[in-house]
Amino acid sequence: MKNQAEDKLRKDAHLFLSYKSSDFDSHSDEEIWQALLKGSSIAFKYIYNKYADLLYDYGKKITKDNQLIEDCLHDLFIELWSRKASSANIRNLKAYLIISFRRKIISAEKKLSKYEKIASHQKFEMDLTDNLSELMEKEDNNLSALKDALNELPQRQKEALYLRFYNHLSCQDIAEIMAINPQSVYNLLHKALLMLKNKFTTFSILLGAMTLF
Amino acid sequence: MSRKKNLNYSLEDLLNDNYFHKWIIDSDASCDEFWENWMKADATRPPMVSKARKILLGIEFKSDPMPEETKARLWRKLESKVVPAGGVYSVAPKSSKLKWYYSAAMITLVAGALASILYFRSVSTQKGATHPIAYTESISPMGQKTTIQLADGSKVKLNASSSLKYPKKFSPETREVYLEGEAFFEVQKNSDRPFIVRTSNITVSVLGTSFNVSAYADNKDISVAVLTGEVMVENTLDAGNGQLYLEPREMAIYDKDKHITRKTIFDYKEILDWKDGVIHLKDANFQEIVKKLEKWFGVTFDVRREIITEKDFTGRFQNKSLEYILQGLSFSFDFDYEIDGKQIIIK
Repeated sequence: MKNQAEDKLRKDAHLFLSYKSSDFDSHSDEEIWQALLKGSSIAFKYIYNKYADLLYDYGKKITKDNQLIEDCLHDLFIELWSRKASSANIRNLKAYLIISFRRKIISAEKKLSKYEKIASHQKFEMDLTDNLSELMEKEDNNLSALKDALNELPQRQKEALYLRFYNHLSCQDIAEIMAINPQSVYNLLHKALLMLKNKFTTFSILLGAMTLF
Repeated sequence: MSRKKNLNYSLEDLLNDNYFHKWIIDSDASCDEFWENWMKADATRPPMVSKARKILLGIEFKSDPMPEETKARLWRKLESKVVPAGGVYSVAPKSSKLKWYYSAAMITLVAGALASILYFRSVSTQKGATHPIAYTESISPMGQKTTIQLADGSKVKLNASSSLKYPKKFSPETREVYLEGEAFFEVQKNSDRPFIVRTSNITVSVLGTSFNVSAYADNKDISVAVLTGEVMVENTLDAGNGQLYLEPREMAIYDKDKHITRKTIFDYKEILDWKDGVIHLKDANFQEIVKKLEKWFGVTFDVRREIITEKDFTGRFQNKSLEYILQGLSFSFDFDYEIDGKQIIIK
């Protein structure tokens, strides 16, 4: 049984070798990963094209240093190619890439900070979409207050929100990425959403009261 | 997932419910039924769900898009380390199909070397003073094919009735050659020096790949077919506009009358058979067959009666003599023939 499955994967991988990258659109990350394991550089290019933007965006959220982001991205993909045989079993390609990328940035920043103080900056800057503006009845003061409140959330809460809401990762994956247990991820999300709900309710009551007069 | 329909949730509970997140954030359709039923059970629930949905979807992060230039530059850097010279594949696959291709390429090389010893002739021409580059022209006459090794190590197999003009030494910036007719290129990888093939109407730019260009003056179309790597095709008259990028198995066909280029998937055998010594005829009518055989064997046909071609002819002839092919054709098309030196008379 196992051999049969392996044979099938091998056959598929050989197919991938001669296909153009848009043919991967209909395949799952798991299949693309298997093609990469068999040495398909088209699969490699596909993974780069699909995930480089997402990783870059995430990198910009945790560091200000563009060069560092580029270097870490470069190293990440070189490793992905050269170590592909040794990381044969990955559960989720997207989460795997984010985990490795985050580790690289953090360790590179640590090295740098030995020599220079890294200026902290507003990380995970959040915006409100029209959905929320609508709810707030376009009260500018309230809106910007809510936005500030969102941005003032602790870094880890924002990171959890970002990974869950922006990148659609599961709490299990976020736990791995942030190197904490899944319960802590729930707690971080809970705290952030509670703040949001409280602010929202206060504003609504305020607005509701105003419309009465 | 088994869940209670009468779950008595507040707005806060909803916002914290993982299963609710799954429905709203991940748009998981498998949750539809549960939440729709949950809403039906109580009139206060639909507005609450709508509020919670708005809050969850209302949070958005400022996006930091990767500049296109950065993405392309980083890829070139990665590509140079990952993709080996002359091709896309870094691990030689043990696929019988590709093995066949490699051995076919070897045979082609041997045959090409022989052909060039026997038939190669070159003419030197000087180009204008602005580019003091000495060009050489190789010509494959009718009935012959030529293999050329360029200064950078790239290989070109020139089909019959074709010519290639190329410098003895390339300029430091680009590697430019001029093609009339048909050729198969295996370009040595060099990311800093693009390899450019110029034809009457279109220009083909690559960094290091293998591909076929067919640009015969008497054909309606010019075609570029890619075997490995990536190729950019553009209209010579309209440079900078309408660039077309091709990946393996893709072919660009330029229509000389309409001045349009379209992209399609090609059949390996149909396009590349020639370089392996195979005459490939696909749905060809008699006129097309005559034209192909004239080029291939360097003969002229004298067709003395009309040949009815209701059924288009399809077939492959591998290293077969003209006489063998004529015998086969005469049976299919029902004609008599006579070979008189380089002249074929169809009766």
